[in-house]
Amino acid sequence: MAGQIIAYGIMVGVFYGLVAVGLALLFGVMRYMNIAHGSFMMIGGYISFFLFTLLRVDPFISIPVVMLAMFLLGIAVYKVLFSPLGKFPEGLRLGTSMLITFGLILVLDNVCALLWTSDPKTIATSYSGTTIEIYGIRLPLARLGVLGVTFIVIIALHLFLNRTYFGKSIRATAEDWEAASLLGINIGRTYLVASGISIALAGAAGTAVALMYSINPYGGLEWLLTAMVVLVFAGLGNIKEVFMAGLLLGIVEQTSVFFIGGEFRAVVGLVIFVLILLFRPQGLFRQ
Amino acid sequence: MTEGNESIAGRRMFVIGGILVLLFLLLPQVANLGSYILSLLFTLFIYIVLSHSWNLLGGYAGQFNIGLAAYFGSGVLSWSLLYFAGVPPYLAMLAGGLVAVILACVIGIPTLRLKGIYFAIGTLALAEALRITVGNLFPASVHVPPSYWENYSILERYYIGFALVIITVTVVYTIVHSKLGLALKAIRDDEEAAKATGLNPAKYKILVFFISSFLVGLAGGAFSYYRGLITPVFQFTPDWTFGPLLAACIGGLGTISGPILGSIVFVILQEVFSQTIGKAHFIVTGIFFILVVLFLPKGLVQSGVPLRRFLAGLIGRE
Repeated sequence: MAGQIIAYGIMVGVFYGLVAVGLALLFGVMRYMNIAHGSFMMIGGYISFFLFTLLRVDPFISIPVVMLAMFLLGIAVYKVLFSPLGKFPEGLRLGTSMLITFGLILVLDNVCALLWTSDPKTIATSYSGTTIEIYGIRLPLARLGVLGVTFIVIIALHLFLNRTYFGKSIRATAEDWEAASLLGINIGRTYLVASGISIALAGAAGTAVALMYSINPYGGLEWLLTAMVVLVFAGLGNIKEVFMAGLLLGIVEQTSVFFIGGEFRAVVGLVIFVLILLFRPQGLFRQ
Repeated sequence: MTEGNESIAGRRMFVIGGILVLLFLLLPQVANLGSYILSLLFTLFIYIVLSHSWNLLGGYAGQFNIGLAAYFGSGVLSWSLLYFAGVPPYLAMLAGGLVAVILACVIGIPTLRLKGIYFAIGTLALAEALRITVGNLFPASVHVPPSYWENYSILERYYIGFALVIITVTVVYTIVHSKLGLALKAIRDDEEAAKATGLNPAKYKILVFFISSFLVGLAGGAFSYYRGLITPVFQFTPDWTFGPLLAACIGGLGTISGPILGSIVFVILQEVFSQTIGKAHFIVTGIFFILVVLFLPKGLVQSGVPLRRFLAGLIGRE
């Protein structure tokens, strides 16, 4: 039984890392908090849901398409909402970014509800109920697939941030945007790309939600809560430790679900959040 | 603005405020307003209390509570649980306020000691956790005992709501014009500098968070007394954070008249839109809110002076 809980915790936890990484990237680079991150996940989920039901495209195949569409949406969001924020005094930007993305939730969620009703939707593939058994531990195929996708995303993101010019400029800007700007990095373009990638990652996570759980227009905030707890777990502004933090949260959460039941999953997240802030506000992994 | 100007403006505000208070006290006695208008005014009162409590922390101290619904919802829920268990209604309202303060302890003490956005994240986390848990634990609709509807008087609710508005505005006004208010503004503008002068920012922020949550919890109790709790989860939805926040931002953060004006605008917009375009009104108000935050960051109240200057510039006088 313990093996089952831990295996499940790992699968859920790595996925939590995927949920949080887009938010962590945006916060780490731009110092903006995107409260609408979960709502973007839902939109990504809807795109893959309709690709599946209307065109019979398997969600794992549609992930690149979803990410591309969400990347473009992220660029539009930057152009319309985030770039005007640059005119605000530096001390006000973070708070204002929360206010406008909070307003954005209202817009996005209700547009989704208007277009596609508020019924929950799930992608039901032929392999949705299939599990494989290894040493008595049952592993759902869809979750294993999401695990694989997350690893690909981690590696791709790592290579992008460390090996490409854009990736390096994103890291430099996250470190110190004024110095980066002096060295000739185009800050506006870096922010544009970072915001596109952040929303694209939300889209990938949303596809996985539609496959493993269900999506509905108002489901975004619940996932935002998970992403935020992971962020605080990793230490705000840390992109690298997000997957590690997600993994830990997943294991703790699954263990608690086994003992006290799934109704209190959100409360467990909250308790962990408060404990972290009381004892290790800089995050679990920082010295 | 110079000292003299401020005191004249302050005196003018007192006179206008006094006239308004008298008007709202006497109006339902003189004229028969009907239950629709009284309900609308009660809703307006609740929004004024909520947006002013939010403004106290968000506008004056710079701490954004994006989970206001948690404190409101807990006021609503504890009022109805206690009232239906036989506790007198006014006592149950006080209890609602106290429950909100207890919740504020849980989030405020760990997060307000830290700088930055931990407080915002914490309030949102609490609100979401409560919404999900209340949704899991309580049935979708609760039976309201018939005794609640006996002797139901909308006029009594109207006066309770109005009393709450007066209490809230007085509390906020007193705080803002005291040493505590100065400390809050100092913390908002530069926390490090405030610390250097010997202030303990965490202490002030936590104290004000308690006061703000207590007022919100009271408003929750009053709302429950007005409405009778039917669907517990509804009061925990983010709409109840969004409305007051919107009202405060539209009117003008960090002002006394801003949240009042903003609430009036918001309640009218909501009433008109929900009757004409139904569910789409959230989309319109959302876009309106984003536009206000981006292009009128000081709100309607404080935009008067630059607007007048702009118009004066147009006709070539200054």
